[in-house]
Amino acid sequence: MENKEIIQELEQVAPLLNTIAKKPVQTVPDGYFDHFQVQIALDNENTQATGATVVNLNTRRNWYTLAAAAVVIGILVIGGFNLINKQTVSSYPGLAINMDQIAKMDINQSVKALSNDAIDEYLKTANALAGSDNSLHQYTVDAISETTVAEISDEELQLYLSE
Amino acid sequence: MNQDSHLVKQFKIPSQKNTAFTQLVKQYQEKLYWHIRRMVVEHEDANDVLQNSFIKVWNALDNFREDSQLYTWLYRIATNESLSFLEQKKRKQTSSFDDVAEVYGNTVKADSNFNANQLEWKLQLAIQQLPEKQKLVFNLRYFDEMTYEQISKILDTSEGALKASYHHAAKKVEEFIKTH
Repeated sequence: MENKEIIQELEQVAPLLNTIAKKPVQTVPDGYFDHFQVQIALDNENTQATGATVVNLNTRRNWYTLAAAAVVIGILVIGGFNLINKQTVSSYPGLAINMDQIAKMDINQSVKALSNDAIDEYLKTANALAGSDNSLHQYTVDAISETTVAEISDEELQLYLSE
Repeated sequence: MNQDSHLVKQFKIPSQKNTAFTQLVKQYQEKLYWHIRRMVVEHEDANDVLQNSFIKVWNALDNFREDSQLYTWLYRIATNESLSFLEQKKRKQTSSFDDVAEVYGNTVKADSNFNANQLEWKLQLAIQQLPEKQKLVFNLRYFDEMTYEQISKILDTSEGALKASYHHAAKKVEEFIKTH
């Protein structure tokens, strides 16, 4: 009944379609409909008792999931490794710069440029840091030049100047 | 009492639930499969959507009140599952409908039986050019030979709008076949 109506309707709208067979043309795996089973994960006692199949519905796509997970883990591990390395290198940036500057410095020139007061201040600080029994704390630059130089013998002075 | 109504009542009896469901699957699997396959095109996708549709049926049939026919209720579930699947797939692939139509067309051509000169295959290619809603209306009317009233219950659309949509789709399909 409906079929006749559909044919008549198409005859008026798109008659060519009435000449085409309606049977499916796409391929289906052999025996698909004979072996088709609904795969339900059952939590019901009654249905479990009948031995219904419990199957993961998405097994077909499992390898995609695993591959994506592997890529993400890889990125995290490499990223984490790089981050830790970067932090180690950049933990003491001030020290890295100072060592560089020190390597390029002309020590003699730099010491000559210092004033006696500055050297005294340094010695006081160094003595305080090194401890009270360090003999350096007993002398100032002026005291060294006035007292200890006088105690040096002429031979020692000659030897020093020849060096 | 018709056979569908008997199946629904049988399903609601715990001891007969499995038997009724197996019977229901046997009775409708092929019709629903082809309805889904015409929408999603590939067999593997159709199989997944069919599985999901029957799982929904299993979970919801206890609450089915028989306000509508079992037949149209099953089609409604299969249709919604197909549309959800296509929506997800479209989001993954591309947002442009033209590209999607091309992808489906290429999938049709990839079938081992494809014959570009055969009218039946031209028809399949032509259907892939239709927007999803028109495709649904065309398939339900042309292949499943449903009345507009039945289609209306499946798609929640007025019969007048469905008729207009079907006529429009049929003309487009015929035009495609004539020009390709």
